[in-house]
Amino acid sequence: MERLKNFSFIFLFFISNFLNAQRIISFAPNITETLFFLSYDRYLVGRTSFCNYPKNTEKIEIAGSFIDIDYEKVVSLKPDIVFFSGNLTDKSEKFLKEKNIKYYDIKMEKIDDITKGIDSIIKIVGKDYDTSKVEKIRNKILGIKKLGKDQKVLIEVSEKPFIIATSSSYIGSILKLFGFKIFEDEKPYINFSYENILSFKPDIVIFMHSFKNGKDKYSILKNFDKIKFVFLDDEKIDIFSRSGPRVIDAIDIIERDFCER
Amino acid sequence: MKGKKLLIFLTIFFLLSFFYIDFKLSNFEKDVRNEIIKMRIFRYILVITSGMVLTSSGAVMQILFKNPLLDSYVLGISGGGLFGFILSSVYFKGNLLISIFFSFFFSLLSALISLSFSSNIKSDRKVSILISGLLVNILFSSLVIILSIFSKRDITFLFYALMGSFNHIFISKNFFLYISFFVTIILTTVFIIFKSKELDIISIDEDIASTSGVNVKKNFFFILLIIIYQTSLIVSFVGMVGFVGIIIPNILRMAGVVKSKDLISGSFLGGASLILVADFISKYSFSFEIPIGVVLSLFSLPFIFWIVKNNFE
Repeated sequence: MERLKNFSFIFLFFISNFLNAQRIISFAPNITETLFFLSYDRYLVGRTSFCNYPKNTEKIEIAGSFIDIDYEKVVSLKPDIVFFSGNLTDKSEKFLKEKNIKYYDIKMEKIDDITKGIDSIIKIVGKDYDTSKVEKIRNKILGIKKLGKDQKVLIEVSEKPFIIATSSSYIGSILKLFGFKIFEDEKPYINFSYENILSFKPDIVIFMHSFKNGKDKYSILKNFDKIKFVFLDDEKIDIFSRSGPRVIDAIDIIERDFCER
Repeated sequence: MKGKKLLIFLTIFFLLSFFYIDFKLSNFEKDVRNEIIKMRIFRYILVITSGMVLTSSGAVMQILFKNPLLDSYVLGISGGGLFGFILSSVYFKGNLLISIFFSFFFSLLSALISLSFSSNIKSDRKVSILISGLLVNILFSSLVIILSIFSKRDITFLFYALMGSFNHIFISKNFFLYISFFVTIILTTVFIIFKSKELDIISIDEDIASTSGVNVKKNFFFILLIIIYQTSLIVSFVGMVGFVGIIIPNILRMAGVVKSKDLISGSFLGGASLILVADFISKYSFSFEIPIGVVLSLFSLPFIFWIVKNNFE
């Protein structure tokens, strides 16, 4: 009798788990990309207007923007889980607690955080996924070779104000694994100056913005002619700023475009 | 505003209110509709209460200072209140009662600084109070920015706090507090309406008021204290919302409303309607909600320019 009771409990648990499809809202583009990568997009009911990759995201309803969350929309989408990635505000937290909606802030700030973040999402959603895809990411990251040869790389994020990405940023952490020397700082993005350029003396400058005359300011350096300037297009900027499954593309781009062979 | 005019105005107001709550409600599934209506009604109450308080307090300040360009925003009270609110939320992690106490304290402080600055500026009283209010506002807005940076607040919080937003999250455990605040606002407003006779006499001449047995100083500071309390309460919920307290009372004066009682009660309805429309625009005109202050500034600046042109020759 006891066995039968236990068996029916387990059976009901699995049936209910199978029938009870999760409804997920993602408030971060990298999380949305990860959900698609894990084929969890069938549970995705809401996204931000910023979530534009892969193309199928267009079919998902917008539940907020880069500025604020549409709280009425969130209620109407009846989510079971809401994901953030370092952008959970006090106000949103207050709202989700009040409405008894589960929320998770999955921080994927550096390359090391990606697989941990993916594992956390899999655990939270609790649905089947293609293990080989996740293994591919793990192996790709583990397979990074030090091709950078201690070259100094400066990553310009914006021209005015002059802001750079440091070794604590996502792109900085990838390049560091490749053996490049990145400007060290605890903060991922910092203000930079002409004096800093003179003292850092970069060998490679990566532009993550569209201001093409940005390289003029490096003419103050003696090795100006030898500096390699790399301009990233919008797609590549997204790849290097959204820490998620497209790390595979990021690694390929670095190997192809940045490293001397 | 009497009889037919009031009826027309009330009809418009109720239609606006209905439209505000009912807008695109059919887009939502039936089972969540009640929840959405509940959220909208809470917001609606906050919007009309803020409109009423900010406009009537503007009208009262204009009477007290005999200056058509004054409201709680211009005098720097809102700036001080916001600073107090953020300061307390940093140190007391969101305790609403303490936040409102801090907001009131700093609103009071900013009003006192404004008054003391203006008495030291050798200029026309109308101009000096405006300048001192502006300086206090800049001071507290800067302090708000510094405090937000130190407390690592996200930039969107600052954006909405400095320009105002009704996208407030109501917490059910604070329900009793919300009711209490609402009741105190109603009671203090009724009290100000009772004081409208004294305000009428003060608005004509302070000497006449004194000879008529009106204690000008006592009334002045007591009513100012009530306005500061009401403003600090609103600022704690919606941030800094400016200009609405200038526009409506001046429109009413243009329409021939002179008596303080009519001006204050007319401001209730006018202020609530204006803010309701402005909030609707801020909520639905873009893919994200724009601060209410942005909408109000865009619509009211030409009108304020017109008031300045006619009052400061």
